[in-house]
Amino acid sequence: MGYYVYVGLVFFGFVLLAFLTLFFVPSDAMQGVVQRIFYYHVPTAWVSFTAFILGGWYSFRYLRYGQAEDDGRAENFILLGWLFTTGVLITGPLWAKPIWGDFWNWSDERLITFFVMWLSYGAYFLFRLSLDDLDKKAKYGAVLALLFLLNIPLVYFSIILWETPSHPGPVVMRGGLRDWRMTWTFWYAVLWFHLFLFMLYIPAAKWQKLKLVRGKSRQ
Amino acid sequence: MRRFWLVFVFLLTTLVASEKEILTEFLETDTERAREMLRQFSDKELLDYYNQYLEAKNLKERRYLWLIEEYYHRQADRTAQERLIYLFLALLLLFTFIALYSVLSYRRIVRITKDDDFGAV
Repeated sequence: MGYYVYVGLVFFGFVLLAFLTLFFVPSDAMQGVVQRIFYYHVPTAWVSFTAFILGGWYSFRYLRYGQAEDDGRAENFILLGWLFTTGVLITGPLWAKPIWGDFWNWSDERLITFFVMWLSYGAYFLFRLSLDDLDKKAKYGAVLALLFLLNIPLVYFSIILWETPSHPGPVVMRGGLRDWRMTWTFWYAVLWFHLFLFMLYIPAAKWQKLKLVRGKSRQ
Repeated sequence: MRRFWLVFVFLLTTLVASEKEILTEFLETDTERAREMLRQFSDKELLDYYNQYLEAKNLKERRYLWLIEEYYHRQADRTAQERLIYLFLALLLLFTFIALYSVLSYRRIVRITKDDDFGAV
């Protein structure tokens, strides 16, 4: 019952988010309405980082304690993180086309490091699928998840490290959102996307648990 | 009028040959043809003409152009705002599907767990 209430809250939270981002916040003076994608694009990217970090944490726990539950949690978080990353790769080009005149810029380090992250976590699943042995799958998967985690700071700081030519700089942390409506809507979007992550995670975790119980009973 | 022609001469001396030719035709042809040509200009051509025009103008004239730009900018923004309602509905629909999928998946898993003998393990 608790989960249904949670989904209901997230649903109404989404209606509010859509209202705020489409009708409440003012349009950016330079970019017009297109800039509103920012309220989806950036929080989606951040929530994917959260999911990958949690995936990395549970992978670490698996390597330390060897509990199959931790491997399942890591796999679920990484899958959701990868889905959110895909969302970022859809919303980003939707913004870029009217602003840059092109969907993609291969000379932008933020875009490249992010794309590498998307590819690497995609490879994580291909790797897992290619192995039959459950222990090896979990162990090597955990090592890969920890390895790929190293890319996340690189993605985040790429705009500072390389002063990327086309990707906007760190707007949020450096006071770029000057209108209070923009700031509040942005942080609400960040919160909502995290609630959304767990809305998707809960059924996946329950399914994983069921699979584990079935696996144990067959042994 | 004399000033206009001076500007015109300036424009023609700083644009590339093909652009000069098109611009001459655009400025001299009849209204209907000019409107048709307007739609066919590439973004780059428009930017070139725009830059050349600005270079030929003094500060006051440039600032006057701001008023025209602001007017068109607001018009475009207003139109885009009106269309946002469709985006709102599309997003709502998309999220309804995701939420329904999550709820149905969860319900199914709960049922399987209850019905399953393994649930007791």
